[in-house]
This record gives sequence, C-alpha cells and structure tokens, in this order.
Amino acid sequence: MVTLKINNKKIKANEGSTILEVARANGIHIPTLCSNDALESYGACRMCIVEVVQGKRTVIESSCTYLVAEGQEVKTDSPRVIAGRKVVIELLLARCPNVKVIQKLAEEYGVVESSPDFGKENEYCILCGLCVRACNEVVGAGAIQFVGKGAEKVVDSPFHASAEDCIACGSCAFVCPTGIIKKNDLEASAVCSPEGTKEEGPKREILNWQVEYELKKCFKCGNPFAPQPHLDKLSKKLNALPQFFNYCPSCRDYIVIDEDKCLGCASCMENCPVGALELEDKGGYDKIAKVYTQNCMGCHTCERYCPVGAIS
Amino acid sequence: MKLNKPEDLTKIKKQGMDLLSPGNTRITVGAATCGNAKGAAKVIEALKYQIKKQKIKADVVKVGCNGMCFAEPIVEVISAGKPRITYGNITTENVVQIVKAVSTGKPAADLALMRCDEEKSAVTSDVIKYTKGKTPKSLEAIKESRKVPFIKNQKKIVSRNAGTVNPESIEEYIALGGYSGLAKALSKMSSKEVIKEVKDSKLRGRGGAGFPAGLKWEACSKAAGDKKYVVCNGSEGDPEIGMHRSFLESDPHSILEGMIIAGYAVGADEGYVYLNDRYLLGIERMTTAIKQAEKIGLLGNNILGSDFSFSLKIKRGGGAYICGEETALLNSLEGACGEPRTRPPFPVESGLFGKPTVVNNIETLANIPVIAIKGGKFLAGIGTPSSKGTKIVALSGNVAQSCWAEVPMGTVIDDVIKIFGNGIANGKKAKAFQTGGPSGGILPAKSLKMKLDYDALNKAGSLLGSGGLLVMDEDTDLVDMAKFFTDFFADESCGKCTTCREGVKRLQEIVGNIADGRGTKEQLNTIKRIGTALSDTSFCALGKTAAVPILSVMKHFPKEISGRMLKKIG
Repeated sequence: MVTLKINNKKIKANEGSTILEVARANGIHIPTLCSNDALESYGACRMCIVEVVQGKRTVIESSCTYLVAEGQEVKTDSPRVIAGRKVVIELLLARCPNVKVIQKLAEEYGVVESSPDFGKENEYCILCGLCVRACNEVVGAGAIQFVGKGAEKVVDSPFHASAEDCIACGSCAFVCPTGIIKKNDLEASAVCSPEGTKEEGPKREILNWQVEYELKKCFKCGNPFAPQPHLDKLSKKLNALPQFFNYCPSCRDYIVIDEDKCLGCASCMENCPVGALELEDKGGYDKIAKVYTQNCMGCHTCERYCPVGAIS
Repeated sequence: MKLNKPEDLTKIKKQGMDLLSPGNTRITVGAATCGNAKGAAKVIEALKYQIKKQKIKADVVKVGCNGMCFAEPIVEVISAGKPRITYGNITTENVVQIVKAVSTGKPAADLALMRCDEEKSAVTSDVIKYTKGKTPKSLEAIKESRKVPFIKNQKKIVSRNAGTVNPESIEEYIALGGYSGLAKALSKMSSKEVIKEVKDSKLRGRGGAGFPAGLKWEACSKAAGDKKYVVCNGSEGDPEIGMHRSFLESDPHSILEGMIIAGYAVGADEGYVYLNDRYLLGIERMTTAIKQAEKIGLLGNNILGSDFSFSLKIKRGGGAYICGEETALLNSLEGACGEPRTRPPFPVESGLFGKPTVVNNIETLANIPVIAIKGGKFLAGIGTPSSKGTKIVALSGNVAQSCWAEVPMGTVIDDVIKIFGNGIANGKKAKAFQTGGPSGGILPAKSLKMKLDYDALNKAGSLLGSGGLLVMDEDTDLVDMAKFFTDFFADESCGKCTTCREGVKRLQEIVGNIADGRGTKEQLNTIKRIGTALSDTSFCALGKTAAVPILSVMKHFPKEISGRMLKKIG
C-alpha cells in the first residue's frame, strides 16, 4: 500500500495501480478517450494528463500509464494540465469537428472552436486505437491494425483489402467512441441477377474492413444471431463443442436439476450428446447429477430420459 | 578453427599482424560510404591495374573511414621499414603517381596528407613502429601525423581502428588488441566486476538521453528472469549525421565485442543488432563480422572455453527516427509498429518479448572493450565532471571540411569547428549551430564557446544527443532551417499520441506560412501554445522536442522571424 495525495485528498492505494485507476476508485473525474477497463493502458489520447509532484520533480504524465508511488502529490486539474488538455481538444476539434465525443469535451472545457491558424479537416476517427486493441487483446483476431505513421496514420485492414482474419464480431464497432465503424446486420433478401433470382440469407457487414458474413440462424427460434467465423472462434476459445452455438443466446436455456428429486441414476448423463452432465458425490451413497453449462447446448435430451422429472 | 581458451587469441593475433604489416607493401583505400561516394571503387581498380602494370608486389585492402571524409578517397601506403603515408583526394589519374612512388621509394609529397612513423595503441601497450631508423630526408616535407591538428587534437579510443583495419577481417581486429577485453572479462572477471568497471567509468549512453550505462546494466542483471537480451541500437535516423554509420562500416568488431561483454555482464544469451535499413554497407560488414566471430567460436556456445554462450542476429529496421527510441525500437524488433511503449515497465525489466533487455547505442557498446581492457578509471579520467570519456562528433553544414572526429568530452564547440572543420566554408562567419540532431535547439554563434557536455548543453536548451554538429553560416536562412526540421518531425512522428500527431501537423502548417511570408503575430502565439502543449503532454521525447527548432529560432533570432512576417501594404 502507498499513500498519495490527489487534489490534496489523502488516498491509500495498491502498489502497481495507475493514477487513473486510483482516482476513479475515489470518485475523482479524469477525462479519457483511449482508455477502457478491458484493455491495457495505451496513453495515446493525452486527455488524462495530470501534474505529478514527486520530491523535487514536477512532471506532466498521462494518468492511465503512470503508477502511484509513496508521497506523490497529484493534481488532476492544475492550470498547466487544463491548458494542455485544451490544446489537445483544440487539435482534435480541428481534425474531427463533427464527432460528438469531442464536441462534448470541448463544451466541458469551454473550447468554442479550434484556433483559426489550424487547418480544418473533417475526419471521424480520432485514432484512439480502442478498436485495434480490442481486436488484438480481447478478441484475439488481430484483423485490423494501424497503417502509416504520423499525420497519415489510419486504422485499416491489411493492404486495404478485405480483412482475412476478421470474424465480424463487431467488437471494434462496440468500443468505437465516434461511431465511424459501420457494422450493419442485413435482413434476408432476394438478389436479382441475369442468372436468376437468388435468396441471400441475413448477413453482417463491416464496411470499414470490407467483410461480409452470413449470420447463423438459431435452431430453435430461427432468428439470425451471429456470423459463423465468430462462433467458431468462440467455441475454440471456450473449448466448447460446436453444437453449443446452434442456439441463440436467448434460446440457450440451460437445464436446471431439482436436487431433491434427483435419484442419481445417471440416465441423463449416459444420454447427453455432448457430455455436459456428471454425477457428483453428496456424501455416503448419495449422488446427484450436475450440469456443466460450458458444454450444455440446451437440447434438453436429458429431460426426456429422466425417470422422475427432476430436469426442467 | 575454434578458440577454446583465451590464450588461443595470440595465434590469430599473429595472422593479423602479418596482414597489417606484411613483407610487401600494403595499400589501403578508405571504402566506407563516404569513400565509395567519392569513387573509391574506381581508385581500387586503378590501383590494381597499375600494380600489375608496374610489376610491384602490393596488396590493396579496403578499410573504413578515419574521419577525414572531406579528403576521401584516402589511400594509405605501408611499406616495410617505411613510414605510413596517407594520401588524400585521390583520383584515378593520381594513382599512377602513387604506385610509382611505391616502386621508386620516393613518396609523392604533393599528394600526401601526412606520414606516420610510429603508432601507439589506444588499448594495449603495443607500439607499431613503421619507420626503421631515421626518417629519410625525402619525407621531411610531409607532416608527421602527431603534428597534424586533425590527428593531434583527437583522442582516438573508440575509433582507434577506424580507417586502419580491414573491417572484413577479424584477424586484423584481433591483432590490434581486439577481443582481448572479452577474453579478460570471461577469464578474470565476474559479471558483477564487469558491471562495476562500467559503473566506475561513468559512461553515459551515447545515443542521446545520456543515461549511465552501468546503472542500466546493473538493473538488467538484477531483473528477475532466466532469458535476457542485449540489443544494439544502430538506428541512426538524424538527417545530417552519419558517424555511427561510418563507424559501423569501419570497425564492426568492436561493437560486436561490446555486445558480447554486455551479454556476459547482464546474463543474456541472445542479442540483436538493430540496424537502419539504409546502411547497406554497414549491414553487409556486420553480417561478415558475425559470421567470422561464429567461425572461430567468439560467438556461440562456451565462448573461449567458459560457461558463457551468446548468439547474435541482425535485424533491419526501416530507419524511422522514432525507432532510435529504445521502446519503439523494441516494438519494431518484435515486428510491431515502431511506436514507443509505456514506461514503466522499463526495458531492463520487461523489454524484448517481455524479457529484461539492455538497449545500448553503437558508440556506447564500442566503449565497452576499452573499459574491459583498461578499467573503468581510464575512461573516468577523461572529460568533464558530468560527462566522461570521448565523443565522436560529426561536423556538417557550412564548414570547410565535413568530417567526424573523436574528441574528449568538454572540448569547446568552437575548437571542434576550427580544428576539424577548418572553420566556416568560403571564409564566412558562423551564425548559428545545432547539436544533437533535430531535437537540439538552433543556438546563436555566441554560444559556440560552450563545451561538449551533457548537462551544459541541456541547460542551454540544446542537447549533446548522438553528437551531430550542424553549423550554419551568415547566409543561412534560419526560418527555412526551422521549417526543414519541423517538416522532419511531421514526417517522423509515429502518430501514436494526439499532441504529437496533430500538433506537429499544425505546427508544420504555421511554420510553412511564416516561411512563405504569410505569418502573423497571432500565429507566433499559437506556436508557443502548441510548443508548451507538445513538451508537456507528448508521449515520448520526439514530440516533446518537436517544437524546439522553431522555438529556439524565435527566441534567439527574433529579427529573422519579424523580417518574414506579413507586411501591411499602404
């Protein structure tokens, strides 16, 4: 444990945590654009800068990357910090004047417009890297990356072609703070061509990475719910059987075993197609069935075989 | 042949000595990039032809650069019992004269730069005597090298072999005391003792930041983990500097030896030489050097019969300026974007592939063999209190002679320009200068009295950096210079953090405006505002210093700026 001061408030914090984490846990607001709890801190947006006094040294550091230390004095809103943040907002406003998050931040900090000396652009991507990092760190697909450097930097699929490794999970669109990543779920439609009319199933497209996959339909309700490559990736990651993903999440009602009724006869276990059931010792000769939801695909076969109706 | 014990080095040393001072004549030609650009290849061809034609016995050997880039192609002639004669600015026409001089024994005095009667080794106690007996009268017209200011004022420790040995011959390097530092470290010193010597030497990183090398090594050796790496930073990205390139082409083995000793000290068994992809010749010579060292067992398992094993690989980087920053370099090495990483954790704790890693510059590593042989105190005895040892300085810009030279720390910058650069070109006056590459400020000529010293230059708003020294004469337009460097930063920003990517882009626009004569007072204020934000909020040192060139011109040369401002007509 270390003791530090944030805005003159004494705070105890765990060693190895960042200033941002500690500040947020204590209800102190620090604005961020590129931070997400599920991702490693990246330190790119520079909105979360704070002034840190440590002994004789005073430094401006990004709070999402700087670790707490004993005796630190942190100021989250000193004049120097505010001035720095204002320039960052101004620069982002010159790049992306029509992005809502930036407009909101500008309002919060009283920035009316970017300096007249700045050139004006109309970009929508703020290059926070959330999509890239979510794709690499959380999904593990590695389908998109930063391309180019400096002012020419963009997020793109390899060689600006259809992203081969994209599984169309849509995580990138989910984390994007500006909404520039276009993920569309399209309904089934008939496509007319000289060769005749063709029925095309419900699809998901992510325009930015030029990918398009058919959505899998639920075996039970028939509604489309996820692209097949996404489900393949998930079943590999979860080490679950592929059948698990035959049902959409809402139809995937897992079985419940009434422990009072269960005889421990093992007929459900013997008939389970995916081996999701096992017997568990309850002391003495008592045994009851237990279900592993990780493997259960919700087919309810066991329900039919139970002699006492303990499964529902 | 594999070397199994330190004493085996002496066998190779003899082979090398035979190559360095052979029975017949040895003619060396400076064939680093500077020499090649000025036609060394043609000179070599002409030399070989003339030697055949005039029927004399002589070996033509390619060597590196001795720092006198302005006099390339340089040809040196070593005949048994005669002084070493250095000829400069040789063309294919002059070659006839030189070869004739060899056959007749009378040197061509009008072409000669200097002669060398005897040479003391910087690392060993060896003295190579070229002249036997008294110097003949015919040679007295040629200056002795110890009296030539260019040589006299240098302290050649790191660059002791540059321009003398064949960079593609491990035997010659060993003959001049090479790998004896490694042998000493492996056989007589523990890894802790090696680190202690490096700490005692007070050697600071020669790449730019000036972090004490000994402390870096100690931190890495103490870091937890079995697998560790040593990385050589050879990604020189500064626009006007080439001394590390030149050094790499002239003496790759001393870098190699430094890396192996570093590996032994910190407990690493693998290393990478990260080189700028534009350094084609350097990469070629380093590849050869690694192959040679592997062949005789100076790289590989159980080096010189010890328990220590070490292997090296070359990795070519794209040559981005940011990849000279150690964490961006590590990212590039791993195959990712060359973007700086968050610190902490520092590379010494979690570097390449998440393992403890020491990243050292070419010149820092080349200092290591000297420290191993002569001890840390030797280096600590040279220089100023805060900066020890020597520094290779590359002179460029409006100097009469572009060159590089190794001088003790604390040398006055003005002296460097006068002695090595032979003053300002065309008899003009110096107006401004810049040290340490684009990140250094453009300082006025009155600051030329400053000494080469990490802390003194930092205080003046510049930095020693990698040792570039760019001189600008009175006719140089400093606004254009500032524009050039701002453009450079805009090109080289990696684009990771908002302030640097967007800020430098806007800075480039505004400085461009001012250079075009469309600047206004408000724009100067905007530059200051961006400059403060850049130095406060940028992720790494590239962004933090990106506004330094224009801000230093605004501070030291306000007239240059106001002269370029938009003028109201009428």
